[in-house]
Amino acid sequence: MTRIVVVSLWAAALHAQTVQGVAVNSATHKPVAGATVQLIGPADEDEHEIYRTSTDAAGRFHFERVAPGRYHAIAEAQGFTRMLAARAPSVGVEAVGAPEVSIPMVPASVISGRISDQDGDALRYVSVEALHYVYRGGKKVLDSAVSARTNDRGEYRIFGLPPGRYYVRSTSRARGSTAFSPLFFPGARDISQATQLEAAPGAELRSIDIVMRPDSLHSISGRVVDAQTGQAVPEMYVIARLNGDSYANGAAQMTDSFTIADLLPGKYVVSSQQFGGNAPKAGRVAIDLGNADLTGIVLPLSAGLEITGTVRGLPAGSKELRLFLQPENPAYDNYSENIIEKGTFTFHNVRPDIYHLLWNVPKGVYVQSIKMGDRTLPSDRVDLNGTIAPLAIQLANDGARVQGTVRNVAGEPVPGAVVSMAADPSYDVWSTTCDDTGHFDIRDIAPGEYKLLAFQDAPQGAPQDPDFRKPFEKSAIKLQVLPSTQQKLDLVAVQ
Amino acid sequence: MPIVHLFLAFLFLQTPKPAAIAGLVANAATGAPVRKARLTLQFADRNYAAVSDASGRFAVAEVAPGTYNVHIECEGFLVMAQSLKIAEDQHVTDLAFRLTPLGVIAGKVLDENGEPLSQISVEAQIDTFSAAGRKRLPAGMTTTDDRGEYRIFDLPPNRYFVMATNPRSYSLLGGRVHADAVEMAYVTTWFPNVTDGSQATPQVLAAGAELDGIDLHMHKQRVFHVRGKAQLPPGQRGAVSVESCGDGPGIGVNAAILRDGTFDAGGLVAGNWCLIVNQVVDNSHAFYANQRVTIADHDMNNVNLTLTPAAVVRGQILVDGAAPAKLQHIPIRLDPIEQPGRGAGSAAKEDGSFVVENVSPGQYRLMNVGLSSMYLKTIRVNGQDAANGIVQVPEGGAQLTLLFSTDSGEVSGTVEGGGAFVSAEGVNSVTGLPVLGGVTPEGKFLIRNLAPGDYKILAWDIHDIGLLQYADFRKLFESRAVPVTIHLKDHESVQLTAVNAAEIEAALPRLR
Repeated sequence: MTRIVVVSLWAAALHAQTVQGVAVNSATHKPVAGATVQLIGPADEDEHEIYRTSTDAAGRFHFERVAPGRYHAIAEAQGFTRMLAARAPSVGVEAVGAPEVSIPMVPASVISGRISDQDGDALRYVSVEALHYVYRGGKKVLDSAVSARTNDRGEYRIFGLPPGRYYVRSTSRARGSTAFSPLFFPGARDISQATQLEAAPGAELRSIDIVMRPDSLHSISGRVVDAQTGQAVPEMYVIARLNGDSYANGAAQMTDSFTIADLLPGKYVVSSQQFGGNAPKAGRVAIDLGNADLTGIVLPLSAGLEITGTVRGLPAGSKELRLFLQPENPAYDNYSENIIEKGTFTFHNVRPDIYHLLWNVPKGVYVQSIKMGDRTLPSDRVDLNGTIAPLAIQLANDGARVQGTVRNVAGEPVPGAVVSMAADPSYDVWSTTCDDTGHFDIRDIAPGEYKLLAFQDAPQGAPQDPDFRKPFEKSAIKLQVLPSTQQKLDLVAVQ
Repeated sequence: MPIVHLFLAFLFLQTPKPAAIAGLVANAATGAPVRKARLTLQFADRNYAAVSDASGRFAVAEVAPGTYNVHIECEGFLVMAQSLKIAEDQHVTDLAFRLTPLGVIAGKVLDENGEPLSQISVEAQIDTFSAAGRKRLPAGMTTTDDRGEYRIFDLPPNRYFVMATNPRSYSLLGGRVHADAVEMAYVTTWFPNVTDGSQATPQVLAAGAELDGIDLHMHKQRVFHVRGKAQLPPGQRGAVSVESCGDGPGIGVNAAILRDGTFDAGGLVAGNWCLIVNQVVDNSHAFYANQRVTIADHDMNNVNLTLTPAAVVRGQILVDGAAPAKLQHIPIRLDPIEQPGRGAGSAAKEDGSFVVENVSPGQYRLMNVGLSSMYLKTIRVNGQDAANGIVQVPEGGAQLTLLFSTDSGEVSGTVEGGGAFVSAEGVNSVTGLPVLGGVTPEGKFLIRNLAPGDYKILAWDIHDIGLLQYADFRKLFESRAVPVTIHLKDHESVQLTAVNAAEIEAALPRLR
């Protein structure tokens, strides 16, 4: 055993290569001196091989004795956007050599301004965020890219921001009995009234000022009752959470009612749950708090559902199948379940709501059909509000394979292009990222009629969103995919 | 609802005439009125609130009589709390509250070429004191922006040391790092541009002041690696924490222990470092290592960390030689003497027994064990008397016996020249800590439950209890102490003159 290790180390040393290149400002095309450059290698579980050095005065870097493998090259320096390893240039180090690497570095943008109250007095410790839309699980969601906090003069400075289009939102904690609703620049409660700002590479957007006005606070009150008997349930802790907010206000229901005071107007989810016991009950209700106290809320508690099901067609010995129930309302809870070998699953204590069933299936199979009882579901949307029957998920192994190269209009390959394949109706969207030669290879595709699209520079996750794809669909390639076939085709990227 | 009705009925029957109060909130440093200050008055279940207007004025009408806790808060000022007695039908219009304004320290962090350094962590540190000694702790911190500027605000008046640290901000993915043979990095720097914290010059920040231009110039220095092995129990993932040993050169790093047991901690400047592994496997098992290394001018490889399982300390509290029947709740805390170290604690049960788990072998100080109307007479560790409250825990664990006694004496007296506390320091103290008693506004004090013996008594015009617990500090004023011998079930009386705040301020620099 020891001898083998020694031999392989010696072999690795023999094949180790020099990797060199340059870090370049993507806006000015000038080299970047003093940048930290890392080669992030393949991970063995979560342990990566990492090579680290700095660029010289000419922006050049040089790694000695790099073991063969595929690496991502990332460069970091002051004033530049932070790079995600997964989106960084990919470098293949072969036993015979490695190519010259050029790492583009994007100059970061700045947004600055002042937050004050209605009298012009500085508001300190206000959180100011630059928000943009990103795609998560095929959905467009508002995400905080970079945030800052105001100082004693009410000034903030958001820096290190990737260039792009942003909304700016200020969120202040309550000061005594004075509270402020979060506002979008230039002073809107709702994003539809907000101004989207264009942050250019290396540029500063100044005087992005917001005046926050105190809001009146209101209380909500009501009763927690048993959904079956209608009787009040005492000694429950009830919480109200503003949609999309991580903070929650809470109060105890001691006897027959609860009151939660000092809430800002907005849409809340009011919830309560029992802990322990065989079948702990829980409940939630969505409310819209306006400019008055809200009374008479009834929060019914019910036992969660047991959602059982089977998975057929699982390859023998496969361990990697995971199912998720993702609620349509993002304020609600997720559930996940592992299915290992036996092919049956049970989600425990699930709230009755509308969910999307998501999955990670092993290589070699795809989801052919989902049934609830005798009814075949047309999509991954599962409504658990009505009558519940066991789920039956059928996997199949007669999936097809489609591969090819993505090129731009000039006929050059597009490394990092994203290819998406969607059918209607379909349970799944197949999507992949091209390698550094613009090549893609998608396997285990369910038979059907597909629209194929290739995107250059699409936001991460966007090609999975039907709304994002829609404007491009006239450029899509239609493809009939037959069971167990292999097809080759080249695509032209849309921008 | 029924409660409110009852309260109204009570008011109606008693008909106390309500009072009305009004006054002014002002800046204690400038005398200027303070607007938007929030006042709350609280007494029993009565609450009143008011906000000062643009001229600093506030008013509360219809206040029921009582002794209220008044709380005044305003952004940019220290919170003020005091009690206020309001009589029936009293009309006060000239209440004056003077709030202490908070200050600002601001400046830039620049590199060796005078270029701004962004994302540098800047701390405003103050000296704090305790029985264990002096410790410099951050009172405020921030990060430089893209122009290298920083601004630390809401700082109470004090003496501040300003420190800039370069947080190693690589995209941190775990793994094996192959770094350059020679690495340079910006090292921790104190104002005025020194890399040794003991050479730092404190900046005096007055109430409401703004100290601007506190610029720090950071320089690159050669940094080194410490590599080695730390074998964790199978299946455990952990990290080696490299920390300053108290006399060390600055801020350390955390290095993951990889699956093969190796670790690689980089970015360390030359000097003494403590390598610490503190791995809690479950609530009852912990493994600990604390090894000192000295980096000279090269990387240190093959450092083997030996992990020792933590010990269990079992103990018993005895009162006048017997196990108590129903002991009040009493926390047991062991503070490590050697820094950095790991403390441990638990609480004694009603029968006086206690178990402290996960105690790393080493020396500890038994902290603040007190029972009302008695004193701690003896600490016994594995059958041996321990002096100065210091408990040595060997690898196999320890049996601790805490003997309390009710056979005490007391001392009382008067204090001239103000004074907040009186300290009574036993010449043969078991805990090594003085017994403290408060001084009344009339200048009187009483300290009960003292072990019979010889004491040194001193009065102090400061509120920093930590400083009074620091033996080296008390030593500075030893000549001012009044010697007293306390006898069993007897009472002594002394007259004291308080050590005043100015004398203490003047003496502090001698504490190095």
